[in-house]
Amino acid sequence: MNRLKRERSLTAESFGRFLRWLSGDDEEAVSQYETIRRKLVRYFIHKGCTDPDELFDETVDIVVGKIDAGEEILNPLAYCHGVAKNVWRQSIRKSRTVSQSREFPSPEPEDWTEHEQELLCLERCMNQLTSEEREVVTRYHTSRGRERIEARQALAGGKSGANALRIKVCRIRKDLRLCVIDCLKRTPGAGSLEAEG
Amino acid sequence: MGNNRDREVIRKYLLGHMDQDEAAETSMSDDILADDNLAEIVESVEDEIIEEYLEGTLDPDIRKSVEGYFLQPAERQEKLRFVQILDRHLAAKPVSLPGSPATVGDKRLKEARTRRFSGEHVAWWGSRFWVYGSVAAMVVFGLVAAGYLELLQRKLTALQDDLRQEKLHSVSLTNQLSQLQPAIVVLSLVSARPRSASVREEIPHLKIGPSTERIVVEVAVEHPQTSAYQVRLESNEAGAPVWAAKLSPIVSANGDARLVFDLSAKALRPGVYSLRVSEPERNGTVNYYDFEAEVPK
Repeated sequence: MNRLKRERSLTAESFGRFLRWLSGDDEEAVSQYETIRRKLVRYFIHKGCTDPDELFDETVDIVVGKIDAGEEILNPLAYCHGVAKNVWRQSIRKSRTVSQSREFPSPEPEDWTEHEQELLCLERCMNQLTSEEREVVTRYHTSRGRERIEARQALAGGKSGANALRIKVCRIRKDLRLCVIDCLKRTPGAGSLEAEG
Repeated sequence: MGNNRDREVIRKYLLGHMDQDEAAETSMSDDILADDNLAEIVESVEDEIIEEYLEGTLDPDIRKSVEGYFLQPAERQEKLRFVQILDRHLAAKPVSLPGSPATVGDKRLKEARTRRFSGEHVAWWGSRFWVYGSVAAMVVFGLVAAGYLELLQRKLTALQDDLRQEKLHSVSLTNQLSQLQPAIVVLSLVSARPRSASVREEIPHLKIGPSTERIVVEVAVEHPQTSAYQVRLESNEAGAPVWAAKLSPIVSANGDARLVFDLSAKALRPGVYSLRVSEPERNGTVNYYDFEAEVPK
């Protein structure tokens, strides 16, 4: 859905001009574009925006307009970020009247076969982790309540290690999530997780 | 730079509590943009908020911010769902935590030793016999209980493994079943109906399974002609024909003639269809062959 919106909002022509502005070298331009896109989409997610991709496209459109107007820009990422901030502020002004209550996705599967496929992929991806990573994530999520707190304390090796543990688990979970998404994409007829990365 | 940022401040930023303070908000977002380490810490705080939301340990005000702001992007909702699935999946797995089960017993033994070596007064009923006897009884009881619990744990693990294996087996069987279903289905249409007749009376049913890719259609024609027939597949609903072509019949040695062609299964939705066959000669006589497509959900 996001891709469709992107097509609608960001035209191939402005996208091409944006790439050319980033660099004369195709590979370098694409690499810079990917970095800017990843960081700005993340920025819009941090700002709780419902459609970060669309706001990113809007940002690029404005930047292309500025380039066409002959504005001299030294740091593309910083400049795009500045524009993104304005786009975000405008978007919250627009969305103030919109109710924000909504239903969040339930983990209860609607399609059990698909859910089984998801679990199958999860198992596969767990097996692709190193034994240390597998041990960490399994023990981090083990049991409930007091037992879980104790398991996490033991894993962190003290209070000072708690933040390091959170970052480590965050990294492992991100890898797992992306791996499951990839696995579901390869499985015909399955797939309910989607991610920006 | 990343480590200088307090996780509590990052949390405020992620919950939108900093949005009114433009300077602080700008400074934080600038830092995240420039510093990949900080971006990673921010991501881990994001995970922490999701975990606390799922555990139900957030204050009502924070929970409100999570639902009204933090969880608005679809990506975070997917992340929430994934953590929930992972948590359920892994929480059921038994993990042995080294050292933890013996902690209580160790502490008591340590206390007993301390008392013994410090020469603390022991009452008559706490004489060596009673002390060692009760300790021995506790140890024996503890060992028996631990053995029993371990046995139960093993049985539970084996049952969980069996269940998981059965589930995986069931998925694999479902996949095999879909592979066994034919990818090509043949639809034979032998009798045309007068245009005035009711469409739903006694018409062939075409079952399109999940694995059906092509439908081979055979239409028996009564007055074989050598030139091409105009064939159009029309949906019962108004609109353009689903498919159209000019086809020459295949005529067997005994004079039976058939029009044979194939359609993509994707072209058909559940409903009634009519195949309109115009004969090239005989003043362009038109015959209609009806069928109903059944597509399981």
